[in-house]
Amino acid sequence: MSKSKSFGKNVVLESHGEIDSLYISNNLDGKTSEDVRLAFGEIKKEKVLINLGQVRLTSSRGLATLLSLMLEGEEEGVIFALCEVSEPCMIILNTMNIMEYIEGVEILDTTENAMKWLSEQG
Amino acid sequence: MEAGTVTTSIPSIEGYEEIVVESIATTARLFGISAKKINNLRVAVNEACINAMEHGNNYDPSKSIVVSYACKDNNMIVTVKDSGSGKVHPDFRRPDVEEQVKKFKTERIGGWGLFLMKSLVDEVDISGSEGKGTTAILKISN
Repeated sequence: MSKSKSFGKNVVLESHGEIDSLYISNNLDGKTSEDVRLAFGEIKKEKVLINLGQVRLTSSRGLATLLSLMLEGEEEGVIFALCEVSEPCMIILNTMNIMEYIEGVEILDTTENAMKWLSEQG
Repeated sequence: MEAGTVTTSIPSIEGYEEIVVESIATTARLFGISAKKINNLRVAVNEACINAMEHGNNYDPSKSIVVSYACKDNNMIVTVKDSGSGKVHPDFRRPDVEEQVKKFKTERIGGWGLFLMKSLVDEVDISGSEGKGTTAILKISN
């Protein structure tokens, strides 16, 4: 059985078995990134899926905040999978070459593949 | 459709930038700009608006951002003007993301806006006039 909690209008944290799943939608701006920060504070699992499929617009600051939170989580042994990364997010990730500089984070096309990849870790 | 200029004024409140971003994307589509260029332009205009709100108007909701855009001869030009001090020294160099990642515990990751703008549109110019605000001009060509 899964549990779900919302943070603001654009962030939902769900828990399924050994994986916590964070769904971010609409505009990943400063306000939403603060809601993402609150959601990260409630992550309990060591495997986390972040679904960016419904992010239709993002500021670089919003994405940078998400990156900082993921780096903090990695320090505590959390494994992250990004999935369904929307075009605006991918444009910033690619332009800044961000994935070159962070280790242990995987980008996968679908939620199912991200779940599968996370299940195979550790 | 005949070329014309659209001008919109938004308050310096985060979220309003999406109104102009989507309006510009729709205009670009109507004038036949490619989907890839429109996606890049959306990100670049968003960065320009957020910069204007943050650095120009200090998120003062009583201060406006004026955004004008026009499509002509396969070119789209977007102008984003704030009402700040007008003192600008734009630095379009690539931020050292690798170093930022290494120092994430002590320093904020970010400062990517100007480099993103430069990378995602064909031309960008940022200029200020003391006491009269800063203007960012973004241009894409089809």
